[in-house]
Amino acid sequence: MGLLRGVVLGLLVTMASIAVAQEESDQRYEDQARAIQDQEARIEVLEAQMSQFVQGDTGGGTSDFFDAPHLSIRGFAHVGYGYNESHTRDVASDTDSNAFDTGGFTLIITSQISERISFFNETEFKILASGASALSIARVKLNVDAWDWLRFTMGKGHTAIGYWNKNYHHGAWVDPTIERPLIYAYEGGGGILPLHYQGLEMKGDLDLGLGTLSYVATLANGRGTTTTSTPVLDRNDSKMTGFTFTYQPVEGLGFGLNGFSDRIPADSSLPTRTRRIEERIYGAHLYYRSSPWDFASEVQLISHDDHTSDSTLSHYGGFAHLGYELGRWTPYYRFDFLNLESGDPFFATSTPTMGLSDTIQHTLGVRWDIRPYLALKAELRYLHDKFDRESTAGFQAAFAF
Amino acid sequence: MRLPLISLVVLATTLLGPVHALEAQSRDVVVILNRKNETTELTRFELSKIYKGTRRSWDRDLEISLYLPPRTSHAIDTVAEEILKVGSPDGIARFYLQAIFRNIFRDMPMAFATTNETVRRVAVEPGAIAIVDRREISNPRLVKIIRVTDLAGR
Repeated sequence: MGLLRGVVLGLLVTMASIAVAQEESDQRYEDQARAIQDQEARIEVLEAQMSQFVQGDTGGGTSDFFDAPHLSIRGFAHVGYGYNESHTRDVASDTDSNAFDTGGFTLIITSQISERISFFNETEFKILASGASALSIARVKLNVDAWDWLRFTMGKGHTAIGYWNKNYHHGAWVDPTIERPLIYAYEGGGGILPLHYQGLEMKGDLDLGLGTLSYVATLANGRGTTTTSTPVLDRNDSKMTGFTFTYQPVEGLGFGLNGFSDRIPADSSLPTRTRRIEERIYGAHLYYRSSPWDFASEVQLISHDDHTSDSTLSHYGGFAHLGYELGRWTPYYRFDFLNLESGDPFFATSTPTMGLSDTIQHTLGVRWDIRPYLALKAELRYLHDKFDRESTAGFQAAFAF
Repeated sequence: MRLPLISLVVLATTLLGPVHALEAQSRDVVVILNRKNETTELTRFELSKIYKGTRRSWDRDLEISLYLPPRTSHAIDTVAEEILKVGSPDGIARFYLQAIFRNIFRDMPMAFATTNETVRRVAVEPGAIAIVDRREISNPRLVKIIRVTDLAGR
């Protein structure tokens, strides 16, 4: 019996030893199989790199030996037709007109100079009312991306006032409507806001955990003696300073505020402009952009402390835009309002009539994105104030190339 | 008049079928990164910031390099509808051209003809990220595959 017990015990020990050895062997086998798979994966990556090299693509975005910057050029243009009827209190002044319009074209030129430095340019080629052509450099910027929350831009650009001017510039294809809001008319077209700057921007996007905060701080040449003066030179020692922020709590929704300050120099040729004007611009904006909705609204208040007349004049304007995508069709409506307080010597020559009394405009239209880079727009606009009524029907084909 | 129960079942199946199909497609949509990238997961909102240009770098030393899915892949619908929220793949082209116009992007993100070409590119570029249909990946070991939380409601 003792012998039998010994044999059984021996067998059990032997079997246990074999099991442990087998387990260790299986573990070594698995480790070796894993190591082989890792090596095979590394070899495949190297083969992929070799393939890219043979095809002439080093994976760095350029194929030049010296890794030189590559220029990218894109263009925007539009053609259109408009019919306009204007009615004033004086019936004899009623007029109507219609004309085809070629809006010239805009080139966007970009180039990545190095990993975090890039160049941006927007140049317009315009056809003037006289029939002559004109070239205008709307934007030229050097961008430096230090971090996502800190980027710098130096050069000429569109002032980060509010929402519309930051997002919509000279390319009609990008704009949701044919005409810009009244408050955002260009300086040369009687606009009252400083839409272009030449100077320095510091901006970024901060992840707050509960949404994103975007900001733009501006330091630039100030306004000239008239609204149409471009800020190429600074005619006084004072710079235009501004700050705009937008908070996006959820995707597509944003609201924010802006504040700008400038000192407009005197114009000695005018008795009403013998001394400077202190300008303050305050605004607020709200938008929601997530397909199919496109909603944007904002209001801007301009305050002028006129040191010649020792008075303060206030002007305000704004808009509310609503579009709704139905496939490739986007019907839209926009409400504009603009009110200039009379007697402001800075606006007197550039906007002699528009906005002196409460101006309201209704815009109703539809945009058809017939192709990814071609949009057709049809629009009806009705503008009225205390003295004038103006009705316009417009059609536009805007495209990118 | 009360509809027969079978009609209601057929109607529900017809209406919900495409929704389930889209959700099923979205479940197969994954994000691929270079194997050297230390990122292990992303939320849909973080992915949206990357593809909209709000976030441009992984860290101080590594810029993000975006790639779009092939035009023929189901993943392009996920990018359009859930990441950029532009409604359709045509909206993606408009979105990025507008972003170039607004000085957010320097050029359009690249897209290759096939998912496997995209995979090979991500495999050799340290900062690369792409959204692809995982069913179309022949060799998943070339890249790091991560799932995106909150995609298609998951």
